[in-house]
Amino acid sequence: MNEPLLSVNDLRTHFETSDGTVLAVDGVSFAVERGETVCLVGESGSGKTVACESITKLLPMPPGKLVGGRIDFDGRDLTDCSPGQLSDVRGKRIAHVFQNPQGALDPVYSVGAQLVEAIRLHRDVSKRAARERGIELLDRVGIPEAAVRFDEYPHEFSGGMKQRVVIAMALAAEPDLLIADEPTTALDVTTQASILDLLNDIKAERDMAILFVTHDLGVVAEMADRVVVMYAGKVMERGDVHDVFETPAHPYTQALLRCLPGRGERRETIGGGFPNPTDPPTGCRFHPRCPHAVEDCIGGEQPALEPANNNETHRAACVFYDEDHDTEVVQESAADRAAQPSEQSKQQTDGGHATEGGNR
Amino acid sequence: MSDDTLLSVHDLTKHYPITEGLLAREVGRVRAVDGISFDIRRGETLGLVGESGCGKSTAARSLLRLEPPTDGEIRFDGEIVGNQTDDERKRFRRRTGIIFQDPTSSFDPRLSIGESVAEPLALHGLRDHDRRRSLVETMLAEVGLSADDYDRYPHELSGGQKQRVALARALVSNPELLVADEPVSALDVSVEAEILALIERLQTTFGLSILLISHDMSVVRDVCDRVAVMYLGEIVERGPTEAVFADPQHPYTRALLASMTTPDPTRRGERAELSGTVPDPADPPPGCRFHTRCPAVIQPPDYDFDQQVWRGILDLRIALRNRTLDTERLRTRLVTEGDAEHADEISGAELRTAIRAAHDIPDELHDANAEQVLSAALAEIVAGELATAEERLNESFATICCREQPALEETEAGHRAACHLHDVGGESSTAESVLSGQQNG
Amino acid sequence: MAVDSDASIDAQFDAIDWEELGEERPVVGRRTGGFLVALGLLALLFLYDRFTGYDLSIGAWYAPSRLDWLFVLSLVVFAFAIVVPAVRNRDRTMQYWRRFRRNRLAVACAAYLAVFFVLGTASLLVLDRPTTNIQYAKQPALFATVEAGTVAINCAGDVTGTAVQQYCHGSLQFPFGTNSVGQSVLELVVAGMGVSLLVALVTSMLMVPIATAVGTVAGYFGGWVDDVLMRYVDIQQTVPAFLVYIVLGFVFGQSLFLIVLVFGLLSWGGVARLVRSEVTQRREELYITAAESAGASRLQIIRRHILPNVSSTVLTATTRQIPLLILTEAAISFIVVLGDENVPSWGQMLTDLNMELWWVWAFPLAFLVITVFSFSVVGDALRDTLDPRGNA
Ligand code: SF4
Ligand code: SF4
Repeated sequence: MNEPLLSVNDLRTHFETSDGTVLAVDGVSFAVERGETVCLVGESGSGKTVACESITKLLPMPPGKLVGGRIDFDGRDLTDCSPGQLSDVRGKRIAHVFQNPQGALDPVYSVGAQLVEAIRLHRDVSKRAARERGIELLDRVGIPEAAVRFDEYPHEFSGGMKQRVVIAMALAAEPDLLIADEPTTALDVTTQASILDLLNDIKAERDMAILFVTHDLGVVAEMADRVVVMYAGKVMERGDVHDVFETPAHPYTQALLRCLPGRGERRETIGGGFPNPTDPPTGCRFHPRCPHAVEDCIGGEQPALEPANNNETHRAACVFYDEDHDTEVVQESAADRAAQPSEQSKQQTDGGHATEGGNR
Repeated sequence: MSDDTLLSVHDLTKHYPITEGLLAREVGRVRAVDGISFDIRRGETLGLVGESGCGKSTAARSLLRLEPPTDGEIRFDGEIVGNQTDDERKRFRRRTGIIFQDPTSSFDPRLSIGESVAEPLALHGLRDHDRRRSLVETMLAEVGLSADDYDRYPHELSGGQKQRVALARALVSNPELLVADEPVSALDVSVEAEILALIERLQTTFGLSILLISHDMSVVRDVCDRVAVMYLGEIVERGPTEAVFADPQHPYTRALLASMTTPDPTRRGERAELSGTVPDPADPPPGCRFHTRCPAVIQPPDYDFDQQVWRGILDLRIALRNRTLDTERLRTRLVTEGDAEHADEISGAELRTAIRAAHDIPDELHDANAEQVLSAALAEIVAGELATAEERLNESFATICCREQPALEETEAGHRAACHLHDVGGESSTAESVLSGQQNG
Repeated sequence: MAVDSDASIDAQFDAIDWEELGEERPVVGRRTGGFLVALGLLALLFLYDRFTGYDLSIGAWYAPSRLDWLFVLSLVVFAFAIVVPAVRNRDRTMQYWRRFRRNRLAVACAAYLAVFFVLGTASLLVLDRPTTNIQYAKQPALFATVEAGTVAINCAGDVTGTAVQQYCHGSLQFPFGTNSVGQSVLELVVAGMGVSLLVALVTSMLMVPIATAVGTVAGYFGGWVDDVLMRYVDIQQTVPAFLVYIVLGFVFGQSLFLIVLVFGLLSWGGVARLVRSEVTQRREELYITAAESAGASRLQIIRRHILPNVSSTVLTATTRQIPLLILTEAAISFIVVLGDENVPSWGQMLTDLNMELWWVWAFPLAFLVITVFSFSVVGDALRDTLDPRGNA
């Protein structure tokens, strides 16, 4: 198994809007191995959701449009699959769980009926067998009294329980890959904790891969084997979760980590605003906000993903990691971060003027 | 209540009646907020934390009298809020401001943001249009926008910018108290950091007192001077932020802190989770409201249980009380799960084992006396005498947690918590051991 | 803009003595002022017309003057409720227009409605009654022919054919031909526009305020107020206005005035319901809470936030209600004669179903269809355009 389960190569998904073309995903590459959890992390507008919805073409197209790239799933290019083949992959091999469980459940059918339908869609089993399997699944995802609750309706479940039901439905087809898009964002902390544990357990049990989309670095630290950091439609950094959190290589990742609450001290901010999605900055997309930006960052394309810290698997898309620059400048470890907030960002904390690009 | 107290809330209660039929007969009430008290001093930030549905937002709305509270006394700057004259009420409104979680719904889509920010000024009678505009423009600059943004519309702004405008609107009438209801929950981390920094800066500029409502413990830790933790309409712990975070005295606070994620992959799996769901506020559990989920729930004095097992037995008792355990259902469940062919063929023993398994109770308790009570109760359950079983368990395994509501009292740590583990005369040493045991449990 | 903010903001606040400011006094805006002045003028004219012998000779030949006054009144209301705000808020209007423009069909329909409005107004206020002219009775429409001498006694256009079999061709003098008493069908069609316009405008003027008021009060206050009002709407909607009209028609005599009155007063239920549901949604919006917390009273909230935000719902719903009313009026005129007023309604023209003189009914029918269709299309397009939930 040297082929990854999913490999996304130079994916480009654009949107046509009245304000121009939104370059939501603009040349993104990453891979997910069997049985591993990859976290796609970024802020809203980074393109993380669009990227993962492009994989099985869940995106409404138009206005969305896949303008380039390859998506190989288990040796098959999904970009030139027919809609029929795709819907076969979707659900059966790749299952989705979304942020809002409400939308994923039909209020007029009982939870059990929907589960049975999901099971029978992928497997030719009797209703009775499907029912048994459904109860088993509900039980597995931690719904107490599964046999009883099987016949209840979605509105009788709390938010966290609904999300469990959705996970059970996703598991119905025993997928190889579960794409979870902010599955715990709408939930309370205590509920979030148990859902994360559930996902981790299931993954271990079934050797299932998870592509986990989130903006929450705490969740990433909890879940990920590997991390892909996105900003403005580009991958900024990727690598093993320990490497990324201990020695974040890209200035954006570093800044993001410094924004986190709960470090006791005063929090820092990145300063500046999110770039306009229809007209992103040239060169490194982070350069208008980057404390280390130099002349080379401004022109041309986003720097390529180069190995950081002599580690082939930990890469950052920053000019300081190519041959001509001194890596020292941007390196920073978790220890430094805790020790002293960098002067640069401290000033920006109070820099009143917000220039976040709204969609003008 | 000291002199520099700006807001003092005493026994604030907000119940929503559940009505039925044409005549709107009251058949029950949702106890959204059930007698909470706290003070906010001038220039201080108080955090009100809790999970969704704990009543924290309702508390905020009723203390600002955006909804009339059912009961309780609110004093603002020494004056009782409630039975004021129109003028006084207007004055109270001017001296308080509020911002919300959802920046989109916070703005009238038909008004430019300048008009929105100017609205409080107009309402309070500042008729001079130019003066209004100049004040609003200054205010916009103050929150980090520019005067030119006056004529932009809400849909042209990002979430973070809208939240800035919301702050401008809340502060334009120069209030003394700002209520921030989940002000950053809908924002990205980097924007969240900016908005919190802005709120802190504005607090100094305007000398604001802030009531910050949040479900996010880490935000509260960063911003608040003092914190009050709410569960099911009640405050369960209250104290200086540092003290509460360093040495939480209530099992619920501990659970909340323990379920926080940390951005550190090396500390993975250190989280503890809380079982069960928040009970229905229309029918809160008797005694301590947290006892249906509390991992540290106090054991009956005459028996010796493993804490986990005790939790399981209590769950069984609660299931009996709530009528969620019934043997018919269990039988059908055993059949559907393939453990038995026919509902009638299931023997009493099998059923008893199933009940134990469902509540994580071992087949034999190591305290023989306890085992005796439990098997007797199980036998009654299987025989269908649920009420007797319930009574038996209640009597033999009585715990103060199910019986008496704990008061919010001073603990050894110096701040207040509402938990029987801290009862005077109660074994406070056990409190310490049980609480610290919870983390690993 | 660099502001030395701390100093300046404090200075500005210090300068305000909040206690002195007192209440926000409702100032009469320029628009409201203009509206009141216009109404006053109209009232004066009306009184003058009523109580002096001079007939101002406002209005059409077929309608009693009370209808004309109502029509002029609705014109004034229409101008101040729609035209003035649209002009004053040019930016927003342009924005709406850009969105509206995308729907080509709707633009064509709107253009037709503009013509309809102008011709209809003209026919109501300026134009004369189509004259009967027996000499040129039964003239064919342009490009149509009819036997000359037998059907059309005289022919305004060219006459062709053999001496035995002569054909009369349509002429530019009567592009739509004439009917059996020699009235120009074109002029009749234009007069019919007047009737339809009158029905559309006057019923809307009655419907809109009632529906808005009832819907807003029910939606905003909720509770038993809501229950009572909506129950009433239920009842009203189960009683067909048509039936009420027929019954009242027996008592007071059939008339256009009665149609307008009955339908205006009885068909607002649907619109009110829509307004109510819109208001109940709006009421939950946080900007309402924000305004409350800033000290706004209920009335202020309704005026500043609720009404402006439901106006598009009202406009859309009303526009979609109009075609129904026009059709109903045509249907009534088709069935019964409206008193002795001899109203030139399209519906009435349809009673002349003569296959040989097809133009006498075909043109009114065509215009009836086009008008109803246009209102529906424009109503739909307005909904898409004005719905703020659609991306701006
Ligand atoms: S490439 Fe330049 S601008 Fe981009 S992150 Fe690196 S230093 Fe900053
Ligand atoms: S009183 Fe009992 S149930 Fe409540 S928190 Fe304390 S130990 Fe837990």
